[in-house]
Amino acid sequence: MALISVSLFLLPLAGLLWRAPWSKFGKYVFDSDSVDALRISLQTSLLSTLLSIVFGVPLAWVLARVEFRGRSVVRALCTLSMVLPPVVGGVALLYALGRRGLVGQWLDKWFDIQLPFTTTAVVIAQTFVAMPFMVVTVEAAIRALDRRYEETARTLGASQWRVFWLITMPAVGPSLVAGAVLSWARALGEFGATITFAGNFPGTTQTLPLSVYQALEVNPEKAIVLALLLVALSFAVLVGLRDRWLSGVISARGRSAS
Amino acid sequence: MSINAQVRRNLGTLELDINLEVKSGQRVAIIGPNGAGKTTLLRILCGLIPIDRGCVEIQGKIVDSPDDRIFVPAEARNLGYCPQDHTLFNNLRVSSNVMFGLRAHGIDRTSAAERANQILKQLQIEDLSGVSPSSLSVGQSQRVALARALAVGESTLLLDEPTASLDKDVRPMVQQAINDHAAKFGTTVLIVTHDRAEAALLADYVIEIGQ
Repeated sequence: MALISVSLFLLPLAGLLWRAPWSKFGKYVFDSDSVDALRISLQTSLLSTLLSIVFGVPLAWVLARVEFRGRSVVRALCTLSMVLPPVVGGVALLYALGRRGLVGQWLDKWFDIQLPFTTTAVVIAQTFVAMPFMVVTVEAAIRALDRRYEETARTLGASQWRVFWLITMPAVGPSLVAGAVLSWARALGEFGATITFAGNFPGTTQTLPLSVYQALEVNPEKAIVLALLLVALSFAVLVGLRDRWLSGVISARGRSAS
Repeated sequence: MSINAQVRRNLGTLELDINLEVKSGQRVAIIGPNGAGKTTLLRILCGLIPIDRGCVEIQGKIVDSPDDRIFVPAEARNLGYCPQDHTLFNNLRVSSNVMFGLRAHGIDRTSAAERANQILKQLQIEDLSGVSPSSLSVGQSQRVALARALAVGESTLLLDEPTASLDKDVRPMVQQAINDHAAKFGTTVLIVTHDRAEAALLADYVIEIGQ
């Protein structure tokens, strides 16, 4: 059974490798469109990961620690985009932040800000789909924390803010890294919400997945090369981080057990 | 310090009805069987468990009184609490553990480090100051937890079994250090202990609480 599941993951990759035009690899990768797409992908996915940390961690803390009515509704709302088809998310973003959208019309009128079809829109779309991974991972970690450490810190005179930074955050660090990796991976692979909300303009909103999609229609060979580039990039990060992040998780467990 | 309180919440089946009055600068030992609520009593004083009825007063100030809607949170009660389970912060070194409360009270790093070092020396563990708590023995972490409480516990000290996991040969030294500290600062001390001999040694009088 395990063999079947491994082959399920291995076969598509083999298919790509089998059809890859190795002799033209360099030409396609260093083609200016591809370089732009790669640059945009890296910039936007890293930025949206950062936003997921900045906004997702406080949200995770609130969901884990603050008891209020409707908490489960808020949690469901904030993680909805994990299960929503990304295209639906894109459409929703368009009607919220688009030029005629709920908020977008005022942004346009008062500040002359038009979000759709800009690189900013790419970041918003990616953050929209990626942040839930951060929230879910970190919330679980905060819930699993041994509260006695935070309680002791408070008796020593530490404010809630100080306890959060000096005691809570170091303890959930490994999960934060795990959440960041998941968010980043989700952001890098983002397609549906991006193409709907940000469009597919080379040089501004065309990320690597979008350029794979476009290339598939005009130049399948290039699509394969770009797809392999995405595979290699994701694979390198997952392999590179796996050990450190796993050992982090294990030592965190040991810490709370001791 | 006085506590005259009822607690029902958060304690499962345990209902606690306490009446205790400790004069400022007095040292009191609390003895009682497991489950009698000794630890709960200290946690109430710390502000980790709010009471349901009654009143808690520390250093002449009411810190918990549901009827008057007064509840001073743990971080503002200004006392030294040494919990039974030590709960040393493993992401910080021993010296930083002891400095933690001083820094939280706004004392600058140099003075805090100096004071921490003094206390570690007093408890004869100054050679451990750069070590991570995760590598300490139970007895060593007990002394670090005590040092951390002493650092901020000049006016009030709440000690939960502070010598229970110490080796016999260091116990008298640690007991002496607690007594010296209390004498020096005129500290009000509340000690939970199993050991009657220790109670006699560390406290002016003993209170027994039953089940």
